[in-house]
Amino acid sequence: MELVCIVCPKGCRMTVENGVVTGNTCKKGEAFAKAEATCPMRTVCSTVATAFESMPVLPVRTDGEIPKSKIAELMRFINGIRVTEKLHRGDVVAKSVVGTDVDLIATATIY
Amino acid sequence: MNLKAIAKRVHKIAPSVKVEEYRGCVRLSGELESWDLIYRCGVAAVSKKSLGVLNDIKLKGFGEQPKKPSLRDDALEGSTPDVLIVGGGIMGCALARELSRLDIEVLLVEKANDVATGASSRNDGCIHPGIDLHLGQLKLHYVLRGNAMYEGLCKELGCDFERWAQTFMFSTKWERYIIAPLMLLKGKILGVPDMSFKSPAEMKKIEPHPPKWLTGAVYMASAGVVSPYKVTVALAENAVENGAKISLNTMVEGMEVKDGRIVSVSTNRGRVRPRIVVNAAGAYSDVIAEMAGDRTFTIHPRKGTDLILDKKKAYYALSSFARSYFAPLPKEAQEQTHAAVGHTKGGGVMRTVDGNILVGPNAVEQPYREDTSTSLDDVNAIIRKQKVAADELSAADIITYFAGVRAATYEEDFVVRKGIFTENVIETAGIQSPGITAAPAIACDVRDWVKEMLGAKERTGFDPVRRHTPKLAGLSDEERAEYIRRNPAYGEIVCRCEEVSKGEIIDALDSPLKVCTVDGIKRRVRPGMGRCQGGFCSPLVVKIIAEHEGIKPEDVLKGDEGSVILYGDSKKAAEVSE
Amino acid sequence: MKEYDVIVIGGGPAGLAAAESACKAGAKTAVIEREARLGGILKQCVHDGFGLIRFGEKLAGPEYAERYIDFVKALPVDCYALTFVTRLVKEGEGFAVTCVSREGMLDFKAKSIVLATGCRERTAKQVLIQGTRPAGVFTAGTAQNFVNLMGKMPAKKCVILGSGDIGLIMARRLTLEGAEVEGVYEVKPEPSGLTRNIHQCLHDFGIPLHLSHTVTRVFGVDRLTAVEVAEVDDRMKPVKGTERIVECDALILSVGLIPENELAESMGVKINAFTKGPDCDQTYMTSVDGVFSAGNALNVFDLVDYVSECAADAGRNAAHPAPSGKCVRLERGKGILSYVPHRIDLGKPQDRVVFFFRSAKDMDRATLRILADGKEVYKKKFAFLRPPEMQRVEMDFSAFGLNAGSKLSVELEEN
Repeated sequence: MELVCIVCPKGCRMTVENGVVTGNTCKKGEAFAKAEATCPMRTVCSTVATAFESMPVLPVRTDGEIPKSKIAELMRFINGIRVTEKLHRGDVVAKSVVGTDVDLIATATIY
Repeated sequence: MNLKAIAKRVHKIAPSVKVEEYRGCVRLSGELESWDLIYRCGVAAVSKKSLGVLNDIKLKGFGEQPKKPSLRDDALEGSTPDVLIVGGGIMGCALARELSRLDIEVLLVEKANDVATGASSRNDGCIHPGIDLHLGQLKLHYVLRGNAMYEGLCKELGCDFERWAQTFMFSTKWERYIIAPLMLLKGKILGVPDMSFKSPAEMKKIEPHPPKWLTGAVYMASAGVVSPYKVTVALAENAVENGAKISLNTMVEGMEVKDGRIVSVSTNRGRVRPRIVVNAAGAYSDVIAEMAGDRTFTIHPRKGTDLILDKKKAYYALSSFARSYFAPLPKEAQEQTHAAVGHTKGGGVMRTVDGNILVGPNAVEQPYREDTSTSLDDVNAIIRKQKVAADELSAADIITYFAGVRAATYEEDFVVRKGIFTENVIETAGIQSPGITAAPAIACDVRDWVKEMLGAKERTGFDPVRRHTPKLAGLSDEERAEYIRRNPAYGEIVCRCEEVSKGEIIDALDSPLKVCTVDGIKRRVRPGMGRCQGGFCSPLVVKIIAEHEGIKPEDVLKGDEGSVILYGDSKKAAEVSE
Repeated sequence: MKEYDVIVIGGGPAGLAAAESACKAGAKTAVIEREARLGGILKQCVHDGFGLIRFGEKLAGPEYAERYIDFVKALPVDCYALTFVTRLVKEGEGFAVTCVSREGMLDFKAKSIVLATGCRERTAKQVLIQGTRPAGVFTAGTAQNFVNLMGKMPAKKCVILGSGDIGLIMARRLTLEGAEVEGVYEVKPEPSGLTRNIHQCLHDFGIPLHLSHTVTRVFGVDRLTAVEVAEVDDRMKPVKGTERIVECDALILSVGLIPENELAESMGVKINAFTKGPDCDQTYMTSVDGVFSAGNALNVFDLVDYVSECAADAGRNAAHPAPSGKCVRLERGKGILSYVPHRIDLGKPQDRVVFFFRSAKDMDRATLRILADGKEVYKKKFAFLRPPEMQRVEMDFSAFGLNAGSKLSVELEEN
């Protein structure tokens, strides 16, 4: 499997063959390549609805990576949320989403 | 009329066309495969002795679906205005305002969601001096009168008007010594005021960047420039202020004509029984005349494209200029300008009243009355052509371009008259270039006819001055501060390119002719007209409209019905708990 | 009239970083922001990837912006939001700034100015797309505003023209929000955006990228109903006969960013032909003494971390502005697309010059060289240079032995 590293902007071109990674220039890159070949993980960013007219949607992200295969499920979950409290950046919007131990956090403060 | 001679000319172009006389007109019928042939047949059928050309030749396989409002109600059912004006372009709106001076009931119907959506918003805004016209043309009569009216009219309406001259530039010695004096003579004969010859050195003082090939120019100081859609909207607003009614999204679908009189006019909003109908339907004016049983002319749509350049290039043209089309550019000059040189007439480079440079228009005959799409060929051709007169212009300076459809008749003149076959109709048809210039003068004549026909009196209390907020960015700091003190929204800049405040947008939403669309606001106060073309301000404008009107952002339209901008909430959770 | 040492125009990431560092350097500082809230375009960039260099974390745009807002709010910096600079003129030793705000017309004086006015997007007409003028043609940034700030969908099925980062980000964003992205079309033979965005925004969602393709025409009278796409030749001109109609309800454009320098130009600031931002020295001072430029107004960056870094330097320098001295121009040699700074002022410190550049084309291996009077005074090897990915190098120009008559140039050699 050939892939471009997205851990940092450098964009190393790597190859994974039988679990062996080549082309990487750091350990993070190697780990990323292995994960991509087995269980790719992603941080998901989106917005959730709020009760506030001044800010109808609040930006959120997963506070860590979730399996790529669970993105659709996460989006369905996210689309059902409506925030009624004036959350602050970093506040947890939902704990342990889609069966992972990753939280969904606010990435902005409701003004 | 010599029908035989006409038929001979027409049959040379297309032998299958039937040529006949019909009620003093030359009627052509049949079916052809090319629009060019149909157009040429129409031109060949023109005769001074006929009332006009009825070119009914069908284009094989052609069908244009006219835009129709889907709205159907009976808002106008049973109404009996004294005058029904069909069409909300500059002609209709100038008529509405002039007629509102009389003590009569005036109703204007327009099928679009705003006035000035057709050719009136798709032209260069030039107030013509009239030099390209001919003695005996109605166009000449009205252009000279209209031109002289504009300054006062714009003062009353609160619209910008600049008497920026027009120059016709020569690139050869023979044009300078032969064409220039002939033009000045023609001007004298036509009655075009304030024309003079300018040497290249004199031109340099007028235009700091004259083309290198310049040998001299004819300078026409009586030319001017306005924002054509702004004037149209202002005319409509002032008409409404003075009691005229304007019904948008209203389309005339038919007329009942009995014994040479229009009895009723059916629209999608009910049947109207007017005493007089004034046809100001622009590209559809022949269709309306046909409904009224009074058609003596045919509209052949002529598309023109204009390019708008960034205000940064405004230094390049302080007035408007065009290269003489009598001679091709000399070889050396062609090399200097690196430009391909055609030999076609028309178009130029001009400074708009808002300070942009406008380049164009061109002229392309087409069968479509409503197709205002642009093409790369047209845009490229205009740049190539006008680069000759203005070699620093380039495609990189373009911020936008648009096309309009001119309502040209085969006689290439306006049709401004009382009904011939129908007594209670007045035609103001074929009002294309220089229609912006002429419309206010035409409206005055029509007002006098209506006054006479209805025995109407002047209305007391007519106020020719439109209530409006001036463009704040054009005021002094002190004046601007005073406006902001009275309404802080005037201090909130929404459109950064054109410096339009929230207060001005809200004023437009509260204006007498309320149009709550993004394009409507743009036409009135210019947010989105600048170099970012609404990239930054359009979400803000949508929000302001929604808030002010108490509607959802997704219910705010760009222009006509169906021009949806947003499809609703991204989150279903937002809807659920509303 | 309020007087400041430094007035920063623009309250986005560049303006905030400039204000922070100007204030910390002892200057009485103000930030003027035309929008209601500070943060600039980052407010609507809800995707992550910001701050890896600056904070060592992958933050979302609003998080990154709010951190800087917090820094600035903790300092004695005056922030004027919803305040629009309508006029900027040189006056005596400093500058007079006239603003429009809800409080009226505000007049300020400043000893120096940092222009952090950001950039704007190129529009459909600027890439000569033809046809009708329906609703449904949006720049990617406008679409992003609708989705991420207003929570409204501008498309159900769209075509994206341009593989710039915002276009790619919007492809993913709209897909996540339930819209269909038919494809991303790119006129160039290579993608314009960062590799990680191609991977995470397109590949992850199976969105096709059509290189050497463009949109030539839009259809629809009221709302967009379709676009015409076509292949382009090596001069990027559409090839006749390759046209294809794609039914969709929106066209989203990510066809380039233009630094906003209308205020700068009104003061006579010289604009560089390649960055389209002000020509500047190593302190980010423009051709007008006392006027500094930072962030995307100076040069369109791809990483906000670099925006912050360059703006912080600009702000610090603006706090203690030195007039322009003898300068050596850094000429653009082969292989280089654009770079800052454009000249080295010999009267100002040259030992730690941050040099940003983009390569003119994809290069697997390349050597960056600085030549002074024909001699190589600096070289550095790079792997995988791509025009969309800006490079950053620190250099000690004081070691290059420059004098007023020196000829200085920068080049990239592929090897």
